[in-house]
Amino acid sequence: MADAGSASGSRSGSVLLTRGLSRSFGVGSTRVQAVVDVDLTVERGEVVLIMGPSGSGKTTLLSLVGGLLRPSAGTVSLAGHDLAALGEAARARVRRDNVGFVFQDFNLLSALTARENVEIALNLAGRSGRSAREAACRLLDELGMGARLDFTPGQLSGGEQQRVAIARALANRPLLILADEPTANLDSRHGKAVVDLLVGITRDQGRTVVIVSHDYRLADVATRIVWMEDGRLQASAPAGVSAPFAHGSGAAADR
Amino acid sequence: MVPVARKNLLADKVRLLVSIGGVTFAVILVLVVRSLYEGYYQEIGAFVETMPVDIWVTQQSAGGLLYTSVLPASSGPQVAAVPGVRRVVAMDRQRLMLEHDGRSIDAFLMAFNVPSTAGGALGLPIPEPGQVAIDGSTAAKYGLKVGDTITARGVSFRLSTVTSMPMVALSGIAIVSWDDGQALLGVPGYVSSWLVNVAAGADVSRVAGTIGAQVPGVAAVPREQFASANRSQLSGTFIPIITVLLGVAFIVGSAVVGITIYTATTERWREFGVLKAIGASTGTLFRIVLQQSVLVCATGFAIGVPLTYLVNHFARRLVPEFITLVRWQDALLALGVVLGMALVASVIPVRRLARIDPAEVFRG
Repeated sequence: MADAGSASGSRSGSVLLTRGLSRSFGVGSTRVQAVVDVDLTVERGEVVLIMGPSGSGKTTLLSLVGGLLRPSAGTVSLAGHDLAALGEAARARVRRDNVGFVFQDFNLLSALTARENVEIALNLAGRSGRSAREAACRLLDELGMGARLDFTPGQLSGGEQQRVAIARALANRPLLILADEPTANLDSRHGKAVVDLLVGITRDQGRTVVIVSHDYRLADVATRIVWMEDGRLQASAPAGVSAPFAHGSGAAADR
Repeated sequence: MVPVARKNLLADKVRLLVSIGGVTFAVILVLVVRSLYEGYYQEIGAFVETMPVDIWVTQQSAGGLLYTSVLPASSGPQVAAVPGVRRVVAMDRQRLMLEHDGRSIDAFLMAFNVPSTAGGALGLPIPEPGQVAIDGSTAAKYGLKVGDTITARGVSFRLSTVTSMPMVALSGIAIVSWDDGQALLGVPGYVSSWLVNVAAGADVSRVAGTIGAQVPGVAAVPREQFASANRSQLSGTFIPIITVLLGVAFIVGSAVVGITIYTATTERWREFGVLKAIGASTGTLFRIVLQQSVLVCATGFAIGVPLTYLVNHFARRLVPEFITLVRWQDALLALGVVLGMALVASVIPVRRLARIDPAEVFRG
C-alpha cells in the first residue's frame, strides 16, 4: 500500500487524509473494486495532480475525498471531518464549506447567468442579497469575466464557462479545490490558460488543489503527481519527475 | 437567493405558458361550476324569499316548490281561523310547457287568488285575464317581449309584463290571473298552497306550528325554512355532479402542472446533482421544485379568477339562465385546489430528487 504523501498524516497542514480508502460497486460477479486501499495525504497549499489510465479509479477517488460518495472501507478526513462517519446532510455541509468543485463539463446551471451561477454557491453558504451579488461580480471580474456577468452558459465559450465554474468553486473560499479533467473540453490554448488561472489564484490564496487529468501539460503547474492504476495509488512524486509516470513505472515514491 | 425556480421555468416559455394555461383552465372550471351552483342555490330560494309571505302551507311532505302539492279548498278557512293569521292567499302552480313561435318554454305556471290590483301585496305582478307575466331570464332566453303571444295548453295569452323575479330551479315563471289559472290548472275544490301572512306582533313559528297542528294534512313552513327546503332539493341533485366536476378540474390541473414540473426537473437532473454536490441540502432542492409548482399555480390562479368573471359575464349573455354568483369562499376553495395541485405536482419530482446521487455529476 503506497502512502501518497505524508506518512503520518497528522501534520497540522494536512487538508486531506485517507487511510485504507476503498470503494466497490455492484455485488457478486458484477462487483468492481474502483478504489482499493488508498492512503493519501494532501498538505495545505499543494497542487496534486492525479493521473492514470481511463477506468483506473481517479474520478471515484475524487468523489470519495469530496464527500460525494461514501467509502466501502477506510477513512477520509477532510479539514478534520471524518466523512465516512457523516450522514448525507452533514457531508453536504462539509462540501459546501470546505470544497470547491471544477467539473469536466463545467456543469453550470443553464438557466442562470454567470453572476447567478457564482452567487448561488454563496447563497447556499448563507450569504445573500447585495453582499453575495457583489462578491460574485468581484470574483468573476478577477477571472476576466467582468464583461460577461449577465451571459448565460449557452452564450459563453467553453473557456469562459470554465472560468465561471472556477469562480463558483472559489466563491466560498474553500480549503480544497477538486478539479476533474478541467481541460478535457477545452482546446490546448484555453485549457492551459484556465489551469494557469485556477492554480494561480489558489496559490495566491494559499488553497489546496487536487486535479484529476490525462493532460500531461498540467504537470507543469502541479507540486506533486500521483499515478493511479487499477484503483490503487501506484506512485507519487514531486512535479518535475512526472515523465516516468507517463509510462506507469509503478514505483512507489513518497515525498 | 438566486431565483432558480423562476429561472428554470422561464427557460422554456412555451411549456410555462401551457402549464399556466392548464391551471387557469382548472381554476375557471372550479369557479364557474361553484358560482353556477351558488347562483342557482341563491336563485331558487330567492323566489320564496322575495315574496312578502310569512308562512307557506303545502300538502304534508311536499315541503318545496319542486314538489306537487294538492290541498282541499276547505282547508283555507281552517288556516284563516288560526289565531294570529291575518291573510290567506290561494296559490295554484304547475310545471308545464308554454309555447311561443313553435318553441317550447319550460316554466312554472302560477296563479294567485288576489285581484290584479293587489299583486303588490305579494311582490308580484298579477296580470289581467288573458295576459301573462314572465320572468326576465326566460324572456331573454326566448327573445320574448311585451305584446308577444304565449300559449299554454292551447290557450293564448298576451305577454303583459317581463319581471325581475328569480327563476325556480332552471325553469321559468309565468303568472296568470286566478281565473285563467283555475281554468288551466285547477282541480275543482283544490289548490296547491296557501300563502299566509300573520298579524302584527304574532310569532311566525308559533302560528306555523298551530296551523300544522290544527289543519289536517298540511305542512306550514315559515318563509326562511321553505326557501331552505327548496335549496336543499337543489343541493341533493347537484352536489354529486359538482363534486365530479371539481375532481376533474383538480386532476386536469394537477396533471398539467405535474408534467411541467416533472420535465422541468428531470431535464435539469444533472444540474440538481450539481447543486447537491456544491452543498445544497435535499430540502433546498425540494424547495426549488415546490417553488416552481407554486409559481405556476399561483399565476394560473391570479389569471383564472378575473377570467372567471369574464366567462360568467359572456356566458350569461349567451345563455340567460346561466346564473352565477362568485363568492370569496369559492375563490378560497379554488386557491386551496391550486395549492393542492402544486403539492401533488411536486410529489414525484421530489421523490426522485431525494434519490439523486451528487457523484453522478463527475460522470460525463
